[in-house]
Amino acid sequence: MSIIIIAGLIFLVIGLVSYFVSLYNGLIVVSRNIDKAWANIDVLLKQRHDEIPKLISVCEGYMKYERETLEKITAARTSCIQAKSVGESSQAEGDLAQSLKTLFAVAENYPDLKANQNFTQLQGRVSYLESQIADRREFYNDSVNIYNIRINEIPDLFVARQLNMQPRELFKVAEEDKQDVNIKFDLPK
Amino acid sequence: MRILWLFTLLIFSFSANILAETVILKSGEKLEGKIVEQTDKYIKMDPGVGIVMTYYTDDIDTIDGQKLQTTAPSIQPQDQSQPQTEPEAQPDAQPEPQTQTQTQTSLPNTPAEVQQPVNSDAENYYALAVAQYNNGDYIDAFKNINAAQRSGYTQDLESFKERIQAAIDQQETEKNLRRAQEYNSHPYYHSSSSSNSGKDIGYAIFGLFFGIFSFFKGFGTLRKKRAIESIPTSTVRGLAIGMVELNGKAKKTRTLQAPLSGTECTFYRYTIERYESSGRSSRWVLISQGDSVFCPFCLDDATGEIMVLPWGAEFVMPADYTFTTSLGSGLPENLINFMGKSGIQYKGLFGNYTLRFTEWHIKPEESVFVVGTAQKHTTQLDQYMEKISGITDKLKQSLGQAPAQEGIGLEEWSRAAAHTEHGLLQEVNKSDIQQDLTDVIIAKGDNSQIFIISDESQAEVVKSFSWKAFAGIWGGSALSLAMLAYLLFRLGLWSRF
Repeated sequence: MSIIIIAGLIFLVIGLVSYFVSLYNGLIVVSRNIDKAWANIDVLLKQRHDEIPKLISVCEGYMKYERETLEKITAARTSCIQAKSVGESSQAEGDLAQSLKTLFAVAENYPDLKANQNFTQLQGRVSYLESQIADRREFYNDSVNIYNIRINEIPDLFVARQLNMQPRELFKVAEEDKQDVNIKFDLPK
Repeated sequence: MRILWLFTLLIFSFSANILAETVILKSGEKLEGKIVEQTDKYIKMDPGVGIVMTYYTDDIDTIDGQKLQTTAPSIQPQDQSQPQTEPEAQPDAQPEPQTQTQTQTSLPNTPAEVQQPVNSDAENYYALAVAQYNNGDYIDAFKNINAAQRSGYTQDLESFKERIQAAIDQQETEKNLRRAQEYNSHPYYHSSSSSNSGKDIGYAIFGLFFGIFSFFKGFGTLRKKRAIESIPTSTVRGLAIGMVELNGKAKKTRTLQAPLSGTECTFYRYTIERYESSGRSSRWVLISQGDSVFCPFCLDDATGEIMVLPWGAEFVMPADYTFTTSLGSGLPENLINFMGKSGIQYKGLFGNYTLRFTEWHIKPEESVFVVGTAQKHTTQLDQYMEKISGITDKLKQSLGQAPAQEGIGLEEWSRAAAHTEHGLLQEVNKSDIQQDLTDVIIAKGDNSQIFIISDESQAEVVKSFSWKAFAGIWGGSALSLAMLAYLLFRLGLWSRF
């Protein structure tokens, strides 16, 4: 009889250890998923940043009177590169996205530019990258959400506290980005 | 002999109480008690427990150190047509009536100390019962006591009967205990005659290890379930290389037809089983299976399309087509055609076998849930794969024209072709083509254990995994413990642990 109790206890101990190991590993996985999701956004941002100088150089020739718009894009791009935290990054990315939208809207006033194949190609590429970035931001936020829920759930909560896991920040859109885009057309005199 | 009985009874009536004494039997047994009656043939002795025991003088060596001289042969009840030493043969039979020799006499100092007239048959029954009681033959003693009562032994024998009954009970208990000890010390004591001896131990050992396997497998399933819950659902447009989870609709890359149901599909898998019975056991035996794991399909989630190569995936899908035949019943035309092409026997001497056909398939535009590894692929590789598939398709067609003539079924050939195709793809993957990777596909990752394809929702897949994990962990451990307990009991080691 006693051997059955011992065997039962062995199963119980192995079961509990395996369960807590799976909890620990699971928390590590969701934590690393966030880092990976953020890094995957960075990959696309890098690609977009690489496209922006090309886009500006194409536009410069046609949009002599849109220097301010182009400078805004360049400044926003620099801010994106320099951003350290999720909050700073989301602010800078919002500015850049806004500036690019303005550029594409203004470009409608320049038929020659619109007819330029390089511009069309770059516009399509940047727009696609924008969509991809938006998808990956959603993915990032899903990852953060899963992590934040998991570290507050029982029994994960007990392991998360031991590992001192803190809630992570979601990628939030700046308030000004939620407002309607105000486009000014500076037609050449 | 009747005279002898009369003589005995006369002496019996004259015999006096003799107080206590030590009687040594010829067997060496020493008895102490009060002799309540003594004749030249026997003595009746109360050892102090309220039961009067009878000992024949033939068996007695000394009484109080004095040699006993026997003057007459001991009572031989058989000679008197009286109940024998084996009264169980006729336990309830009344002795022959002996009215002529029956002498009413008294039994001084009998258990009830009531002197009442008894007949000689009853007396003999009683004497025999006492002797049998002394010899430990309690059941016979009980029967003879009953016989004595029926024969007219009017003294109160109830207390004696109770003692005999108690002795019988005790004897029975001891017997059971002895049996249990023998059972424990000799594991095959009872099973040696059984034709299944040892088989149950084999099953128990198998059950023990199967339980342990299920226990750990359950944790594996739990890990998968948690992994699915940990991965957020991606969009095709935004997916990154690595482990991904996608929801979308299936789209075909080429026209596929499910072999059993004939349904147009993007993926299929099927099994054919035959019911076999031998002796008391029966089971379904897998006779054929197949799938289209080497034929990719597309997943469309409105943001884009991505190719899914099902090879190596775990499929969580309810069966879409099942058909079971019974002995003598007919098969649908499509199944007959398929089995004919595949060279699978479906008929025996007495008609069709009992067969079970099961098919799973994903139809075009059906919702699909995929957890797998997004990895690079190339257009060149696609083209190469098309080329290889074309070659293998041609081979299949050529074989289809002359099925099973060379002893190879279409099914077998398909599998061989699929393996060849896969081997070629592996080789291509290793080649320099991989340097120009542009496309991404969902397939089994090199290091990842999770690759799941389902036509159910994520919630249903998670639920299914939860049940499997629960059953594996709890069921596995319970089965192991039960089998361990059975083995210990069966091998006689239970009491030691």
